[in-house]
Amino acid sequence: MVILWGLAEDRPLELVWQHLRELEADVVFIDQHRLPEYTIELDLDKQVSGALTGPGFSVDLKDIRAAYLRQYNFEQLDTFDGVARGSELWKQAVQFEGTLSLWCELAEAAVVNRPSAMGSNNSKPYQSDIIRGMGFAVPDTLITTDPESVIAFWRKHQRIIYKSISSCRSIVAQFTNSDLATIDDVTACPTQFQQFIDGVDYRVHVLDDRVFPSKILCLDDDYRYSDRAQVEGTSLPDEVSERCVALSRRLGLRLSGIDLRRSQAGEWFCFEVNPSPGYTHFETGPLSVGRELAEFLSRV
Amino acid sequence: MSAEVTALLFYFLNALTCPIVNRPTAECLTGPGWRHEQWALACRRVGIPTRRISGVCGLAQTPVESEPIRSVAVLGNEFVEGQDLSHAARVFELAELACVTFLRVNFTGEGCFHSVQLTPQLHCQHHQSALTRFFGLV
Repeated sequence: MVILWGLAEDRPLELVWQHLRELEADVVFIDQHRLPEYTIELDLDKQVSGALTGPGFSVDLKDIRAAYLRQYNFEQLDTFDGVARGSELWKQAVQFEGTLSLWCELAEAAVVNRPSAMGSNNSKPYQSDIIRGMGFAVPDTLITTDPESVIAFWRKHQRIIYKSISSCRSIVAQFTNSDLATIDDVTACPTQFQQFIDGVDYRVHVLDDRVFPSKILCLDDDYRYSDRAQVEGTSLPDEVSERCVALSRRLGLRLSGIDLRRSQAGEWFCFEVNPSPGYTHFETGPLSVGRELAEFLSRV
Repeated sequence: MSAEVTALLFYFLNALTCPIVNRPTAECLTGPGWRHEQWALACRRVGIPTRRISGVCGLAQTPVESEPIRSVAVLGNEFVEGQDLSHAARVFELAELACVTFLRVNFTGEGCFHSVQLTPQLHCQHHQSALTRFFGLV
């Protein structure tokens, strides 16, 4: 039995669900839109046991062999429009998701990815230290609330970018002359600045010990927000592939999306490891991450 | 903004090489962000008695007593309080399992695990003395 947890309209989850159905795997989809309809009973006696119940199903937790998690903040879903924090409906949703997360953390099942493993992404500088330790280059970095430090850093590197420090998504942008007008805003919130690395972007999805690299050709600073990005399947030097697998394993991730940039000088920089990658944007090569993930989940 | 500052603190505190009372984790700046059930399971692993934990939608069974009766606290290699209690020595093993330097385990009247605290009580003289020694200030 495989469980999927998230939203039916989430493309990465939907694709895996589709492939699991093609494989005729036993699947239960925990749809966050229907949270009030689910219950989970957990018993932590000699082992972790219990049952997961929902519309039309009841599953013994011991029968769940694998799980793929892509849950969103339920409070932002239509189902919970107007639902007050502290209300019975809200509390039930919090308790259900908390208990399911707990099971995901403790179960012997293959969980993609365990909640505790997703945490390194909450702090980019913390994750960068790990990335550097695994042999990748990391851009020179400044985290500051001091405008003068930003300007000095900019003068040193000539080209710099800035982004958030946490896992809160930000659009990576180059710092330019026009940003000087609002440079004092940095005093309100610590911000991460990095030397700009001129080169070619790669997104490498790692599933267990396999890599699925894509090359991204894009003239904009952040290809994720560009409509000019071209993605193509590619290959990596063996040493870089092995380093990606080792990095993903070091972070405790079964599935990851690693952002690399190969500089003009041939050095491999790693910007970030995404513990819940939206791999569907990169499904252009002969190998499909979604299909491979579904087969992985069904084979466990 | 709080996410940004928390991210920065997580990195900064983890990078420090001086003695730290409970290095931060990705879930919590004061140590492991474990739920009650995870602490209970960890207690079982080191031999500290626990009540059965079960419930629907995460409603852990609460002990009969609403307040803990006794406590054992450790800081580094030192007992801070409660070393005369049975299972006191296992609190060191629990601290090692949880990768914490300070741990206070609260027990029920029957000697079962009740709850934990990860923050020293700075108003308590025993805790103050232990911290002073831990930081090498004596």
